[in-house]
Amino acid sequence: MPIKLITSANHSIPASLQSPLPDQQFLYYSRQLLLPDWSEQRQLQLLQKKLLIIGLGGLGCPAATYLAGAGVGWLLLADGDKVELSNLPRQTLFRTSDIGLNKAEAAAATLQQLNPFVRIDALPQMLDEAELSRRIAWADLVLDCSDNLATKLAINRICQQQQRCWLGASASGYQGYSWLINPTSGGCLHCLGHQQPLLTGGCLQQGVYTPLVGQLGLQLASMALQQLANGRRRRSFVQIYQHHHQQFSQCQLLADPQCECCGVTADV
Amino acid sequence: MSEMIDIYLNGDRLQVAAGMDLQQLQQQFADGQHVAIALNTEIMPRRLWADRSLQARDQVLMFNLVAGG
Ligand SMILES: [Zn+2]
Repeated sequence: MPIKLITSANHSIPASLQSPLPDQQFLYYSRQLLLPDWSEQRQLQLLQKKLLIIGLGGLGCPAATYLAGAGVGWLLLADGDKVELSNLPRQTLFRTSDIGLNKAEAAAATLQQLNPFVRIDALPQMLDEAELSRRIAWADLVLDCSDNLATKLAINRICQQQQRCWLGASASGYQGYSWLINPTSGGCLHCLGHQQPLLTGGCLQQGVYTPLVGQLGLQLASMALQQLANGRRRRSFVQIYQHHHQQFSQCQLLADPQCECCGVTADV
Repeated sequence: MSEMIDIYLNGDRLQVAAGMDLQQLQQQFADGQHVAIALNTEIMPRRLWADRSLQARDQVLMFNLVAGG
């Protein structure tokens, strides 16, 4: 199939981005470049973006795969866990030969083979608050693909302090949801009710419906592309999975005026 | 007997007493569970639950808060 060459009509991009895509990359991204609202300019802009993905499990693997494939220029993958046999059914970047390896490093190795044209770095450790804060400040966008409440609340707190938009998701059993939190418009994870210890446990206690984490991971990839590509800041929202109806419902996340994290009384 | 109204809870129609608020709805259907509630596509902060009375044909989504991935 011949590749349709796209010439961008508007040359409003910075000088550093005006070099044409090398031939191989043009071929690599060709199916995306053919989309009616995509262009070489848009691709070059995406290739300048820096993305922090926290957690390379059932959510992080699919999200990272599609974002590396889309051409996000620099992915930083953070995870302190090792690959286990029970991860393989849904953590699609890993093979049996990866068991025992650090997840961030194993994921980075696979992703680099999937897309050799972007930069992929691994942080093979759990990030403490100071390190997390420093990495979040570095990134254009943050994806919370972690599996625990403490990490999610730390990301929520730091992104609120730094006024950074961020995306995340959570799943357990047949229940799950993804979110976009915009600190300047709408509520935060505390407002959603995550400030108290959750009664339901994580995947370890409840199990998890394998396709659901995959779907949530792909939702995050799509939301991230929207954010990175057009930069328009949407109001905070949550997409809730209803297993009974096999569908997602999107709801606005209202701010709690008395929220201890984002409210007017919060010490931000 | 008090007047009843029809609402939709997680897509299913059911009858509740007129004037019931979100706090009472949670106590009736998810007592002791850690849930969030969306009323007509807006997620309501917990603090507002007791102030929000249900109206006929309201769409309520009640979902468990979880922390896995
Ligand atoms: Zn809040």
